[in-house]
Amino acid sequence: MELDDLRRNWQQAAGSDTTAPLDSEAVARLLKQSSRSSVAEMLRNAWQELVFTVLLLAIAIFGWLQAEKLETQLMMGWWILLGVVSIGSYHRHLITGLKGMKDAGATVHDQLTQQLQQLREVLRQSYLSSMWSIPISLGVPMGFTLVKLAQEMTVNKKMVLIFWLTVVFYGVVGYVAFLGMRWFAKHYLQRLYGQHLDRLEGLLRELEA
Amino acid sequence: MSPAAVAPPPDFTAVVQEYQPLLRRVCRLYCPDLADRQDLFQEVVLQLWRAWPKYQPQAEAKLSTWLYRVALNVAISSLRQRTRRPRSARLDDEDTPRHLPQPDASVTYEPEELAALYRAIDRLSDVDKAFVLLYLEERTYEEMADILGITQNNVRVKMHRVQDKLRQLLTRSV
Repeated sequence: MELDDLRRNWQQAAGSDTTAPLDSEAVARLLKQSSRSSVAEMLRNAWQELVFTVLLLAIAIFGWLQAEKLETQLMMGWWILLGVVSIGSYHRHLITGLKGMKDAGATVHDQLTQQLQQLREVLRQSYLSSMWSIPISLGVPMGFTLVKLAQEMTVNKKMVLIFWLTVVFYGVVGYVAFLGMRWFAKHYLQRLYGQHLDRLEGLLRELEA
Repeated sequence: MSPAAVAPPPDFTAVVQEYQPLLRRVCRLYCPDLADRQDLFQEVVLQLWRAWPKYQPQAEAKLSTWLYRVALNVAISSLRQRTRRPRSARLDDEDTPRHLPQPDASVTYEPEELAALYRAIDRLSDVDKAFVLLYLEERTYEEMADILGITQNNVRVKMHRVQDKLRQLLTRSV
């Protein structure tokens, strides 16, 4: 059978469509359901991440309030402040980026391109913020420890060795943490968004071919 | 705009009512499974509602063009469906069953020719399905280009390729 005949069959079937008409209540019911799109899934993931990090921050704030030493309070205070700024900025970018992926009225090509660009940007931001968490987490305690050791060095010359050992210690820990975080961030982001990214790239390639 | 909080205006409801068959045809083409199809239809309506404030009736784009765009965008970029649907087969994939069970045979009757067409379409990629849909719906190359966002020349070239692919799949299934 020729394609044109099949098209006629299709047209006839479409013409004799017996689907029950939707009334306004049925349309309203459809709109009350939550979206199951991949973008909606990613947005839900982002909100879950945010809730988790806010919980961690709340625990840190609780610890800060409980700290008795001024030095510990200062160190934790800096850590929390940097954490709030970086986490807030990351989630603002992430959620804004994902929300911007919802223009379903664009052409198929534009929508795929837009989704791909925004998803790449979301991944870039996520990766950068994960990597920045290393200097933020280690930099603050290292700074405080080294300042304290430098003060002690003025009265005790033996502290010079300890000072440099501390620098090496933080350097090694930082490097290991960097490698671990890089591995974790890549795998975590791949698991969350990788499949969708690969799919979008494949679709766009096919459409442009 | 929260879909749950706002009742749809009469013009939106009227559009969904009037174009329901068109939207269902898109869903039918992308989802052989009835439950998946219903999910997709709901998602399409939801995305139409979200995109509704941006729709400019006075603009050049026809309403049907805009509806095809939204429906195809949702159908093509939907990840959830894909995980529940068998993967698209390659033309040379001999292991893929040629006679997949007729979807929803107990629910809706489809003439054998049409069922064979759907079986062949189901083995195409999601992008190729869009071309087949627009061909079956007798859209002009200009409209297709406007929906897909590629040039008319590109549409023409790809349409020939997709039609050849579909012909081969239909011949194999006979």
